[in-house]
Amino acid sequence: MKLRGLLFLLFSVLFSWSAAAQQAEVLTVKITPQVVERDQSVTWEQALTRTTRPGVPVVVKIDAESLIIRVTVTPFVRGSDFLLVVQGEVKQVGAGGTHRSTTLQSLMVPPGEPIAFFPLGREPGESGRQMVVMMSVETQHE
Amino acid sequence: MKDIERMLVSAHEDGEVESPWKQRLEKRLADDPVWAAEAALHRRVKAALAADQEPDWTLARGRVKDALAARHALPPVTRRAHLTWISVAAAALLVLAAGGGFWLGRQSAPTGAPDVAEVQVQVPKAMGLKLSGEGQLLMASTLQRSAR
Repeated sequence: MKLRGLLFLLFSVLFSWSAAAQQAEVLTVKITPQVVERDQSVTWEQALTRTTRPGVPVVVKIDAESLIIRVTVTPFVRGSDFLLVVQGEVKQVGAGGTHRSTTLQSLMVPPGEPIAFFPLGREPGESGRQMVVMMSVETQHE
Repeated sequence: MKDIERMLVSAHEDGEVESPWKQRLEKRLADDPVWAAEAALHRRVKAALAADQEPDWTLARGRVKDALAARHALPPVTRRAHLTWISVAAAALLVLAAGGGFWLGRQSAPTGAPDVAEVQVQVPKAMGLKLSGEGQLLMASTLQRSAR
């Protein structure tokens, strides 16, 4: 009877320990919005690093004159890799009115693998200038 | 004799067989010596059992009564209170164990609170960016291969 009680207590400790450890898993998301020229040179970039938990999104709002770009990155852990769900919302304000565009995409990525997100599309414009949001996800270690 | 026939004879000796089967059974007992011997055996067993006196259970009954009285010597309320204290102590111990485990888990996990608030960045003016299609998500390695 006593042994059973002790085992139950031990089980409670282990269960709550693992639950807490899992809940506290922290991910590091690196997001770098860039403006890339036709010759692939980077004329502007802003590196950001944010910590989050699996399933909790990191949101970056990029204000570019007539364009407002909102990139929502939600990482999920899938074994040793990450499932990255990226939502891009673009609001373009011009003389012809307001244009909105939304895209939702996902990708399985290994830890630290750089990912490129083109919120405005990849089709080069007249200037050939593009907005690229580079990102990567890693598990934060002690 | 079959078992069922022995049972029938036993039932007859106990007066449990009714007419008209009773008469037919009695005729069989009168005609068949094997059946008659079986009936005689039952009668002897019954007589032997009836002759035995029932043991005197008075002493044993007294001991059981004393044991029960000793067990119920504590007032019921006291016993209940005793059990309640044990339950409260067990629950407190369990909560402490679970809380301790949770705390240990938090300690062993990587530190750093998530700062997931929206971050805003400003692109310098005159960059001339414009919407030119659907958003695309690619591995950077794929992008480099396609650029070559």
